[in-house]
Amino acid sequence: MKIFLPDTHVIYWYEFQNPKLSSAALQTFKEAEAGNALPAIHPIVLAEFYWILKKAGFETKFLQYVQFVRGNPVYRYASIDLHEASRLDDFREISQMHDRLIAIVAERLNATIVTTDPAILQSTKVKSVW
Amino acid sequence: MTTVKIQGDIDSKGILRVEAPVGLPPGRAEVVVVVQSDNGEVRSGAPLPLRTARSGLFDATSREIDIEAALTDMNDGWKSEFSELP
Repeated sequence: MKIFLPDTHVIYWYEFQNPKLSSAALQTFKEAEAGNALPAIHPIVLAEFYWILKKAGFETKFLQYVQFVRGNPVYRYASIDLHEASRLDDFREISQMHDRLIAIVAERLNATIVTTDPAILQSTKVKSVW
Repeated sequence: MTTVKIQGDIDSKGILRVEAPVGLPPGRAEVVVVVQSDNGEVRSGAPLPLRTARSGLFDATSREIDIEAALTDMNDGWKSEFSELP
């Protein structure tokens, strides 16, 4: 089973059906619905998605979205633990703290990060696609 | 346990949407649903999709959110928290 880690842009554009979502990113969700892929939702992505919803006045829907993910066989929740948090210095080529935490979990899960972030896309330590 | 009779709408994707004030405290709940048409007949159409990746929570939303501005604001917020540290 292929595991994907969609970043916050991807979740937002997918949920809001924004045409900025790449065809490759959209395909990962189609594969997930077909049972051929597993999108793993990172807590950082959830937190950033909350922030976006809050800025737009949609924060009341955040918990509904979390419930949707939690009870949905399409998704997996990708937790992060103390050991992984201690590995932040291993991903210096990725400047943003949040993106490093996503990359660390992606490496552990052998997952492909679905992202627009150039630092992640250029990293040789994790698989990524846009 | 409480039983309520409410009405809901099934959208074009076959998703049932209901607003259900049940008068119970917040938390997880087990829900039993019997779906029937307005005239009382149990619906026997296409089965509901079992694997849906999109929540549909934002389907009626046309508002464009400046995602970069929102994330930049978030990052500036936590960075400023530590700016006073030596």
